[in-house]
Amino acid sequence: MLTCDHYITARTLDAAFDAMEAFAGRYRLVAGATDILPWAREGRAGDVHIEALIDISKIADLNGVVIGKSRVRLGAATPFQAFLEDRALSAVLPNMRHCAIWFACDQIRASATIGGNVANASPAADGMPALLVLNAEVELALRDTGGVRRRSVPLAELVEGPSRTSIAPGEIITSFECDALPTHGGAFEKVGHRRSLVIAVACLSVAVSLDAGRKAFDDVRIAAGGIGPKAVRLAHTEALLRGAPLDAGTIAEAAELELDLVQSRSRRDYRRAVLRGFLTRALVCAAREAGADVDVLEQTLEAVDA
Amino acid sequence: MTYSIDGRTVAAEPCPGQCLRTFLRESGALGVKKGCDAGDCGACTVWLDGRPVHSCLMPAFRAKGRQVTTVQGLASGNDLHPVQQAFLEAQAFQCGFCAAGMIMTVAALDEDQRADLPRALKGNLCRCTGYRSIADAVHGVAAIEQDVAGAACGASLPNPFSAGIVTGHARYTMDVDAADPALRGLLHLKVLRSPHAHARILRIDTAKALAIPGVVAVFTHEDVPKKLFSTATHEDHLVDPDDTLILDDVARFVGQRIAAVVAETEGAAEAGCRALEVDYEILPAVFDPVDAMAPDAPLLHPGNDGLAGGARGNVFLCLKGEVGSVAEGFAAAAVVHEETYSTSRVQHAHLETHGSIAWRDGEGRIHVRTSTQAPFITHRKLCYLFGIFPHDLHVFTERVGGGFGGKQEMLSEDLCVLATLKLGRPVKWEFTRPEEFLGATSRHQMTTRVKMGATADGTLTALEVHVVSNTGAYGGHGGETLAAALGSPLAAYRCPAKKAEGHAVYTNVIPGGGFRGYGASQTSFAIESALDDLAAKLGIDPFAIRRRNMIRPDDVIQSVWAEPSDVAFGSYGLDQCLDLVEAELASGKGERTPEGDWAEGTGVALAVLEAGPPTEHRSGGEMRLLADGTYHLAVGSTEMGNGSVTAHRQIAAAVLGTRAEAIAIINADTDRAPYDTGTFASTGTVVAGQAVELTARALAAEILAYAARRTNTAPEDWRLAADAVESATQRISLAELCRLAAAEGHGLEAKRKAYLSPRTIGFNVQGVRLAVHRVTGEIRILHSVHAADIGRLINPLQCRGQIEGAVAMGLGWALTEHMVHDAQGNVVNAALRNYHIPAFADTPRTTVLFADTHDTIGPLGAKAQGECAINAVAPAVANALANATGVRFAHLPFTPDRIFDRLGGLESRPL
Ligand SMILES: Cc1cc2nc3c(=O)[nH]c(=O)nc-3n(C[C@H](O)[C@H](O)[C@H](O)COP(=O)(O)OP(=O)(O)OC[C@H]3O[C@@H](n4cnc5c(N)ncnc54)[C@H](O)[C@@H]3O)c2cc1C
Ligand code: FES
Ligand code: FES
Repeated sequence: MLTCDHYITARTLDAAFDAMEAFAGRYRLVAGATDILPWAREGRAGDVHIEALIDISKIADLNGVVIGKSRVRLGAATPFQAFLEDRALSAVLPNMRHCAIWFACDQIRASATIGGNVANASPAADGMPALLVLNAEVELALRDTGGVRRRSVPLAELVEGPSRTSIAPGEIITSFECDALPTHGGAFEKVGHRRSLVIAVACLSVAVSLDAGRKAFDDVRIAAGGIGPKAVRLAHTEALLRGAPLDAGTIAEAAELELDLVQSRSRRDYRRAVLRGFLTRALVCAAREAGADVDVLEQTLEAVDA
Repeated sequence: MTYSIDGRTVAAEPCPGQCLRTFLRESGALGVKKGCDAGDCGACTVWLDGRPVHSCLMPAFRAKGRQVTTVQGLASGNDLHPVQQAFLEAQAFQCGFCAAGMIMTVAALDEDQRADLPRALKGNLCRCTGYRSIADAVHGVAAIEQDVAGAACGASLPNPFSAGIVTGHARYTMDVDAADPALRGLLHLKVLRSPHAHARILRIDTAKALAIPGVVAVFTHEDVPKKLFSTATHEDHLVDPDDTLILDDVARFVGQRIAAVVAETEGAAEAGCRALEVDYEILPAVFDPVDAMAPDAPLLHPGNDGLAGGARGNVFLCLKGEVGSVAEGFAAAAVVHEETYSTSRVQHAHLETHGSIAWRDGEGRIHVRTSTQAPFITHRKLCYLFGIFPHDLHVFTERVGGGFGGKQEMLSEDLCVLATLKLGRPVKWEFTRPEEFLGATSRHQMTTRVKMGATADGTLTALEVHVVSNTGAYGGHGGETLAAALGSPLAAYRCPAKKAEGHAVYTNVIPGGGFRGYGASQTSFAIESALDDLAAKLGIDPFAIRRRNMIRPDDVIQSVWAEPSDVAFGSYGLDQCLDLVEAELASGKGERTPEGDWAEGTGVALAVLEAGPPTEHRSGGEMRLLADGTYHLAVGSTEMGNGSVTAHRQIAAAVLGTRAEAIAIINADTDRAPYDTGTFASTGTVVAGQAVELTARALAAEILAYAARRTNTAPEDWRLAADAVESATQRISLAELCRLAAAEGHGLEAKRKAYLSPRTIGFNVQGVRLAVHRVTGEIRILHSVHAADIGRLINPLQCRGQIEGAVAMGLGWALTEHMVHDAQGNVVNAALRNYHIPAFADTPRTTVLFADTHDTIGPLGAKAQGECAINAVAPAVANALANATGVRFAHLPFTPDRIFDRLGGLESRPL
């Protein structure tokens, strides 16, 4: 069971820093609490006593979404449900909507935040590949004697491995700056032992745009999670596909290219096979959403899967 | 700011770190349930400003200044919310423990979400229903029928406690009012569980634990009566080995209770457990039953001399039998098939965890409110352990949130009673979900070698089975499940020579226990798989080979023992079941195979159930005519979602010619109901139901006799109507008759007992059409068909629901469920997050069909049905998978990665 002596709901960043200072070394931040509460109950961390829980989900700085021309700012406390309910948002972040569909259930999504998903640094976190596809930059804030200092790091650098990040003690993730992809199509694939409510065994996020004639790929972004210690972009595959014609052969070739990225020792062959299937399916789905000719894709689909 | 709960303003402040679920319950919203405390099950779902959330994952402070709505606040006044009404009319629950959360989720769905339930209901699990009735409720299907006097039997009547279940007012074991004077000073108990698979306790230092504020007492092996017993509850206690102490100085599995801490709060009790210092001497452990049989294996119970068959060492029971000569049978066979099949260790995962509350009243009597399938046997065991005079102990249940065999076990009551006796104060202990996986019981893992011989036309000539059952650290149910494993699955087939041998073996893992299907499930999986393998070798159709060899009404019902048995055909519908399933599978209904790299296959399996255990099983009923002309009925058996209270009312109403509503029922209470062995072994209808029928008949006769006596007429002149007795010339209302009798100091009442012998048999056939992805190994069930011969249907809706639930559970066993132990004997997946019971999305809609039979043994033509349906499910899936891939998967469960391994990542190949 999780016990604490103080539960502090911070409304401003400063209030949060005040509390963090008062309980330096003896606090824990909570956002949606969907990782912390189960972790702190029996089974994983055992019983946990934390002197102060500092709730940062109500801080104005961490909330809200700003959709700009080329970039979108997502407050770190944005819950995954927002990508399903906010139409303007899902229009510019097409792959996040697909990610959210697969993420937990309605109840959990209403609480679970993107900041918590990233900070928790599970190798199988669904939000990671999706945000990597969006070239997310993470903004962090820290208060020391010199006042509040902010820094920005690419997401790919922030997360180092399972449960390991470069978030410094006293730092709070405030927001994510992502690419706006209004003309891209998105897709997400995930497998576990059960169709619903699984923490991913392997997951894949894709966003693609097509050329003017809609017969070839233009921009292609692919990231995979759950296949190694941390989620990664599939750079070679992306390069191969950029500008390549939209047909079954190309997609099949692309799906083979980076299977060696699968590192996790457990069930390696299985994960490779899964990744190959996912890539094919995700590319087809994303291309279709980007406006690809359905007939062209039909054959590709038949060759692989529904 | 304050808290608003169901429109009430609550001034209380939560403790820091407290989650909303416990805060709501402390504030009186007992409708909010706990299934996991981890966000996985949804039983705790409430609305926060109109939006569903898992209250177990919500810090209570978050609700400040916001509107919390629980299931108790959904109805407006006396009018049920439309979703509550829909759940009632579709009977979208069995035990009802999930309903509070499920209703809150469903009531917040919009049209789009209602059209996509697999996704919309991702966050809510139900272990009982198989989700069909829940889908019906969402779509407004009203399935319940009118309660018409004299026509109760055969009608789909609602559970009598439906209104309480859908409004959250039904009280389950842990739903106690903090202000209840009997529970003043309630203490909380928690246990420290062994971190080692096998260890001797050298020393327990309790000083630090006792120093924690709020900790009242610590109990260790030094504080318990030195009496060995078995946690398994059976009428005949000799069938289980007495190998358990309340607290032992040797731990034999990871999770065994080491010490109990009793404190003013749960938090203090947990802190106390953490503060206990225990020195262990680690002993060598053995996990595999075959290893455990080796002469030099570490011994779990050095004094074990077994129950029978010269068992010794870690083998606590060895059973053998042979009828005919299998040697001759195999010699005469044209084809012999031999293969080893194995099943996995799985957990009941009833949504309500184990737990009980004990207290002493002013007169010194001890009361135990508990979640059990067998209150009377629990009563008896507690009397024995603590030397309590039977009259001084009262054991009862409130609503029980699912059992499935997991509560045919005394797991929490003993420590609560011990603490209450020592401290004089009420004591409560509620299992957490991880404790269910660590410290409750599981289905026995069995490995089964099957050898079968047949002539070229598929006629069996010999059938031989060897079973090794891993009974875990303690032997409760180990013997009976082994006997069942060597019983009905072999009796299902006529064969001139049958032989079986089984060993139940102690190992250092969580003990096995009773689980729906009870040993027969494991052997059914093996034999039904093997029969298909044999049929494939002979080129015979799976239906045909079953028809050729299945038991028929003029056969002797016999497995491998020639001694007389008390099993008899009360009716026979196995032939009908096979026909029904074959026709339905051939109809082409169900889903189509998805496009792409999928292979499709169909499979069938059958199962035979002997209703009631071979050991004794007794039940009693008591009935009384009440002053308002309605009836009181008391039965000892437990209702845990199996629908027995509904069926019992219907049986009584049918006999008495009245409406089910005119029967007020109480059950499972050692003070207020007559003795009942317990609700297990499919006895709720055939034994307890029979007691009800006999009692109702006796009461009807008593009423008519009294009417005749009062009027100086003959009893034959009178007949019993819904609310009166009538003769050709007179009519006396039942209320009046009761008044007349009372004036003479005469009560119109009856009491009868039932004892099941002979035992009738039921039949089940499962058909499956599935698709398996050739690369990812994912399995989709496209069509699930189940036919059952359970005699007359007392409540068709409820019968269908029991089967849908059993099929869903069988699919979980076949596809996803598996308790995984690591090399040190730790359970790796002690949470519903990674122990996957089927969710809505995983559960196909099963077509449930019934044979048209009327049983001559069971009450009103009915026979047992709660268990057997599960036995045919896993082998049907296995057979369909073999049919689809050409590969036999002989070991459960069929997870995608295992399928991938065997298919070798085969590239696409044409269908
Ligand atoms: C039933 C269930 C199903 C789930 N299914 C999925 C799933 O399908 N896919 C998936 O990826 N995850 C899943 N999860 C995990 C979890 O919901 C996600 O990881 C979620 O995004 C975590 O966010 P949170 O806000 O709840 O984190 P919290 O639990 O509040 O915090 C997690 C960690 O992050 C830190 N933290 C939070 N916010 C910040 C911040 N702004 N700055 C710095 N540190 C911060 C906290 O201190 C803590 O250490 C599931 C969880 C449950 C209970
Ligand atoms: S108790 Fe909250 S989700 Fe299970
Ligand atoms: S009725 Fe759903 S869990 Fe029992």
